This record gives sequence, structure tokens and C-alpha cells, in this order.
Amino acid sequence: MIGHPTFEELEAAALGDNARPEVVAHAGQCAECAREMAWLRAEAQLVRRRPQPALRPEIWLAIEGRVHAPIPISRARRFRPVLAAAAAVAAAAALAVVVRPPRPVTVRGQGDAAVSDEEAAQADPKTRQALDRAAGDYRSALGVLEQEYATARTRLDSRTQKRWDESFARARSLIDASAQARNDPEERVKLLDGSAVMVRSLRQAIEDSEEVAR
Amino acid sequence: MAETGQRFASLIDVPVTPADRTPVPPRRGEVPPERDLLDRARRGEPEAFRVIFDRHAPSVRRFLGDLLRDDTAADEATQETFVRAHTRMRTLREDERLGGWLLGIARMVSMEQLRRWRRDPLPLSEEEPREPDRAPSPEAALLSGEADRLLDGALRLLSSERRAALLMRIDHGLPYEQIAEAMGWNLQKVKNEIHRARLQLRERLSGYVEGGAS
Repeated sequence: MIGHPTFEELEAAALGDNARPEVVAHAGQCAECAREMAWLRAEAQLVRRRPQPALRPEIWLAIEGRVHAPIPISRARRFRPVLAAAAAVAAAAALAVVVRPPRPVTVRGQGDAAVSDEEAAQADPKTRQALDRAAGDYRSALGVLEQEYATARTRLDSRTQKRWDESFARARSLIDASAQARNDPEERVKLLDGSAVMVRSLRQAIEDSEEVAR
Repeated sequence: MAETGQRFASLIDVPVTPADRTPVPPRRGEVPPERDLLDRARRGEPEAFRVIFDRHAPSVRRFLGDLLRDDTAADEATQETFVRAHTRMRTLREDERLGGWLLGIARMVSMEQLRRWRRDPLPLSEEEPREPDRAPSPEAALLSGEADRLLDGALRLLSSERRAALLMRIDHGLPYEQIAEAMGWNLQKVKNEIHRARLQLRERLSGYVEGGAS
């Protein structure tokens, strides 16, 4: 190769896109081009090795709700107060977990672990009650939504029915899981948070459907 | 610095492979090709759109995370990007590549969000360093440290438009022509902006790299 390759040729060689052998050969003999290629490779390597952010499953659920849910439902808005109340209770319960004063440290043997969990749950009955109430309210909100859905279900094709059934089942399983995690308030808050996202997405989908139907 | 320089130098010899979120070419007979998928998505087949989401959402979410630097906003913008893509699927030209097209929509969505933030600023300004909610692997944590912090700072200093163009090129591997379409710029402007972005990046990273790259 006579003279230096163009920047784009060097870049293609550095990034592995259609690298021309004569460019690579030139860089092997030319310190200036070798250095440029090293920079291009290093910056790409640095940028590309950054961790991939998590893709939350709720994103797809919300998209699906917005693009695939032409269900004519007329009374979906009436569960709004229920959901709002549930959200408020859940927020209060979460706050109670976060600001709860630390328990005094006691030295125990390993055999006391189960007792310790039980005591921990009993130590803060207000938090537990608030979380129970939030779970109950989310269950009620989901129930109202399911009633709305039941009236429209027969008009849907089987594929759409399956998607909606799965979404409701997922929301229910989150609420059930939160009820089962009675001795772990932090876990319950997380599960209730997930339930809230699911219920809101379903509500949004149904409200969007209502708009479409008008 | 010498030690970190050596670590960085070792990166230079590693071939740069496309990032793992770049859509993988399908193996024949197993995964539908992109053109076929697009045709099916245009005909309204929900499964086809879901496959498109699965293939491209990680890349779109990563891109939006880099532009908005806020996980919640990036999640919402990812949702909005795919809802718009679904609506506009028919406008995608035959010769246009889906990945670049989606990043173009994502960029528009992010610009709208940034404008909203300018009108109604967040308590924490964009310039202020924020910890991304990403969980690096132990290996990444070992290798990253100083270089990754410098890179993060350097990317943050770029204007959002310049950052978008640079990341389309070196993180997502788009050719300049596709970047021009996605950004709505002419080819020369794309090359100029990416060149300037690289110079800014090098200025920040040079102290770290010099020991290893030379």
C-alpha cells in the first residue's frame, strides 16, 4: 500500500468490519497507523464491555397492553379509587419497613434462626398489617379488572385471550407470593411493588382499549 | 498508573467483537430472518413483533440508558420507542435496517424527554454524576475501575446528540449511512460529529491509556 490508509479504512480494520488485508499489513509496519488502530480498538472495547442494563419484563407487558389490546370495555375506570387506595397503603407500608428502627442486637446460636425470623415478623405488627392490607387492596383491584375482562373475553380471539389470561395469572401469583413471604417485610414490599406495576399496566391497557372503542 | 496502563494495553490486543446485545444473525431454519419478521409484524402478527422486541430491546434500552442516564426514564422511553415502532412499522423502507431505525426512534423519544427535563428540571441535574443501576460481573468489576469511570465521565461531557452518534457507531456498530438516517443528518455531519466526539473522549482517556497504548 502506498501512503496511509484513510481513517475509515483504519476504523473498519480496527472494529473488524470488512478489514482489508493491505490495511492491516500497512498498520503492521507503520507506527502512526498502528497507534491509531490501537486507539480505535481500545475505545470500542471500553465502550462495549460496559455491563448491559437489565431489561425489566414489565416493559414488554406495558407495550403489549398498548399495542395489542383493542378490547371494548366500558366500566374500567371504576376500579381507580381501589387501586389508588392500595398504592397509598403499599407506600405507607414500604415506608414503615424503611424507617423501622433497628432491632437490638443479641447473640444467638444457629439453632435460633427460625425463632429469630418469627420474632422479627411479630416485632412489627403494624408493618405486617399494612402490608396485608396493601396485598388485599391489590387483590381487590385485580378482581375488579378481571370482572371487566371477563365481560369482554368472549369477544377476543384465543391468542389474545391467552395473553390476557397469562398476564392476570402473573399478577395474581405476585400478590400470592407476597402473602406467603409474611416473615420478610422487605421481600413483601418488592413483590407488592411488582404487583403494582402489573396491575397498573393492565389498567392502562384496559383504559387504552376503552379509548379505542369510543 | 503503570499497572492500569498494562491492563488497558491488554485490551488493545483483544479483537473487538460486536456487543452481545447486537442482534445475532439467525441460524437457518431456527429463527425467522429479519425481513420475514418485519413482513409478519406489518401484517399484525403479535408473535413477530415480540421477536423483534426480544432481539432489539436490549440494544434500545442500553442506548436510551446512555442518553437519558436515568433507569426509570430509559425503561419508559424503551416502552415508548417500541409502541411508536409498532405504529410506524409500515413506514419502514425495504432497504432500511431495523436496528438503526429503532435507534432513530429511540433518539427522538430521548430528545423529547430531555426537552421535558429542561422545562421541568429534576432535582438532580444531568451534569451531576449518578450511579448507573447496573450490576457488573466480577470480571468486569476487576477490569473496569478507573478506565470505566473516566469513560463514563467523558461520555457524560458530550452533548446528547454527539453522544448518540458516537454510541451508534462504536457501541451498536451502525455504519455511517444508517447513523445519518437515524439522526437526520448528512453523511459529512455524521463523520464530523463522531470525529469530534472521539477527540473529546481521547482527551479524557489519554492520561490513562498512554502508558499502555504506546
